[in-house]
Amino acid sequence: MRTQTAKRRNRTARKTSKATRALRVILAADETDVIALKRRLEAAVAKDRHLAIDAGAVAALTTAGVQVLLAAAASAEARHVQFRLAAGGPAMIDAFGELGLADTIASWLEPAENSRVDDAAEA
Amino acid sequence: MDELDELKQAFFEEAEEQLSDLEAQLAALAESPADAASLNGAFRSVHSIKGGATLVGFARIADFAHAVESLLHRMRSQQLAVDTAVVALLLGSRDLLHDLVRAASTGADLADGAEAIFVRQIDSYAGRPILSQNPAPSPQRLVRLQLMPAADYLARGGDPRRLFAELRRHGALSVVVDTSALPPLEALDPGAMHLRWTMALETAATVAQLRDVFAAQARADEYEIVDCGSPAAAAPDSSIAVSSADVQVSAAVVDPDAAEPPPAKGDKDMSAVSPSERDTAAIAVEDAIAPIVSSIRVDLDRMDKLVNLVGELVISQAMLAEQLHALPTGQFPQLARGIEELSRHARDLQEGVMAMRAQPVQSLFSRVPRLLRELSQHTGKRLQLVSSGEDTEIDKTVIEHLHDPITHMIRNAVDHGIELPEARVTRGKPPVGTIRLVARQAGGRIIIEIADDGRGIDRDRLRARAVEAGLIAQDRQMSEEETDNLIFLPGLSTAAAVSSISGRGVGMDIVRRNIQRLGGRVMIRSTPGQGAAFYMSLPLTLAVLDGMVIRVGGETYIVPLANVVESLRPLAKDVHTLVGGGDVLSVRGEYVPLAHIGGMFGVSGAVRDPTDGLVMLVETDDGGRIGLVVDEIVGQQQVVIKSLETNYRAISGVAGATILGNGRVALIVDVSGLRARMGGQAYAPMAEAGARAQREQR
Repeated sequence: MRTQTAKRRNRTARKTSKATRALRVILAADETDVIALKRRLEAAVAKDRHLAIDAGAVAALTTAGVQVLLAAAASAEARHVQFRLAAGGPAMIDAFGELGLADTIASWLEPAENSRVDDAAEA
Repeated sequence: MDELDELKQAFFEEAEEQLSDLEAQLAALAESPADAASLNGAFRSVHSIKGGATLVGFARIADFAHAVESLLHRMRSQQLAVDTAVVALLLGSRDLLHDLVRAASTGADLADGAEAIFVRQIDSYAGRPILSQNPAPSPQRLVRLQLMPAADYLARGGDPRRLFAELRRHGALSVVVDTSALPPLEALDPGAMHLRWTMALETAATVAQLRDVFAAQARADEYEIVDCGSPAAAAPDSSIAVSSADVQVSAAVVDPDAAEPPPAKGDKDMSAVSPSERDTAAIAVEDAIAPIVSSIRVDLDRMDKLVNLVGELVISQAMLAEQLHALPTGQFPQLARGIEELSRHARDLQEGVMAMRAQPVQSLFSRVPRLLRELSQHTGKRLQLVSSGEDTEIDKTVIEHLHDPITHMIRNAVDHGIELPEARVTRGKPPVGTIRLVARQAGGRIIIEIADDGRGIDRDRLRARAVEAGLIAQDRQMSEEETDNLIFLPGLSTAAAVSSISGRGVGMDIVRRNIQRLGGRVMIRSTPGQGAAFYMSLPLTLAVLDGMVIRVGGETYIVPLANVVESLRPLAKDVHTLVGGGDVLSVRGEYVPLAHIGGMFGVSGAVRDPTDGLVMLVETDDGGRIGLVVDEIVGQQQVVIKSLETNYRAISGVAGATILGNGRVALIVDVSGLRARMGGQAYAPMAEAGARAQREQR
């Protein structure tokens, strides 16, 4: 049920995509500062561009951090922009999996159809 | 400083307090294993540290605190006996928590896995049989669980991942998350909990055991547990619906000491309500019924700025008062009344601000029981502590600098003073030696007394050691008090054997130096065979100094009163000029080097011949004495200290500055610095100088 909802969200975002070049947001190894994480994601979402979250380096993510990412994904969906995971480290995948969010993160990992990642652009 | 940094700073401060409390509670527990209040207090301290660490993202601290909390929980729920070994484990764990907090605050690295050894020991306790009852293993069943954390769940140290990990140890767990309450990103409070979970657990664990898991990490109103029986009998639909009748846990069960309350309506198994549930619920209710403490945390820098500003106000008021005195008496009565009122308010304000920096000495005293236990184990001596005045308050900075001196003095008292039990009995004393620790306020100062009922100072032996070390002349005449004070000389110890406790002679000189740096003094009273007592006299605050105002030429200086021994008008026959320069003054057989302040600071018009002025004998940090040659002693005054380094630059021989009532700046003399400027004459060279002068005299 969770997977279906998440897939539907991303499909909606793709159909109504506003930009073709996604904005890459690179997460740091230690993302336990949830206030800073929220600020960065807020700024990124506000740009109304598809988002590619690069979490390959994340080594520490708290439950609060997971909530921030979930809220950012929901906000992106509300603005009809994609929220995609360009890379997900084991720590992030574990955190989502342990909290019953494995389907959600799996849906973020789906390849985007109409977006290219703008490596130079960092929120 | 951003928001997170502020939170972290607040956590470090609170953690220090909690760790101090924890140590006191554990010390009390070691004394009285049945003391439920101490056990509860220890649990609360660790719980608070866990909560704070989780909030600011210090996972390592939070995880270790959780392990310690689990151990305490087993003790609270009477599943584990309180004995010496487990208290020792808790004290060690407390120290490691302290190290982890310190490492987090300084950014230092603490070796990975430092906590592993403690966690292994804690786990071994967790594996011990339950004292009260060890239920037979249950057959495999399906249990439906719900976690509905309140918004402050994370702030309280809760972590669903840790909870789920614990549950997975009991069986196969499937987790479904509900994100419907998650607000939009812009409205999200990142520290608040917005998710809910429903779980199915296939397990052999009893409902009571699962409650234990939940209760250590959540309040009773935040979770539900429903035993669905065997997995086959349970509904195949994994969607979980829990009716209100299934809720088994009531937050009304709070008091671990109270009788079991009657089962609430709908409760299925109240007898299985676990003590650990009571842990968390009791804390919640204790918090609710505890009197509301209206206190706030204030950054120390801000406090210091305030203290400084109040100091400026006091100086301004003093200047106004001096101006008023210059006016004809009675001509401006309203102005006089206004200044008098300002003076009163300024003094009240100053006292109020100083009181804000004050803390009870309890934090110092709370460490002593543990120290005595360790010393008792090392020495085989039986010890008891008698303390009073723990509520006496003193400046926070003074407290921070008193820990080492008090530790040194107690170590010395036990090692040198208290006798072994057999020896005490032989001397007609009780086998248990007593260390007395007392704090009290006397005038504007705090007196801390550390006394023992041991053998007292062996003066003959002390004197012999001092002669042997070349610190005093063989034929030097000394009073009992002077002999006792030899104990503060560097490198002097009367311990027959060097031990890990004391006996290297590096303790008491440091004690006195540290106390003097705080503007304090140490005195000894010793009675052979009956014991010794050390009295530390300390200022209430470091922002204000009791000083002696002196005049040198046209300049005014302040000499800290703590350094002043006596003042005298010297006779010409007692003043001797040494070969190579420098004067010494003979004072009752002792030769004291003279410091001509006027010459050293380039003051014109200052007396050059000591017999034309006065000599003020002052004591340096390491117990040496010098004589300050001054024109006049103006009087005693309390002055507000201004840092010279902050406002100008450091000057050797000057500790700081102050502003006098007439608006002029007066320098505060640093006695030890002055002696260093004279060429670093130490105690032994002084004796040598005296001997040389004696030879010249002959």
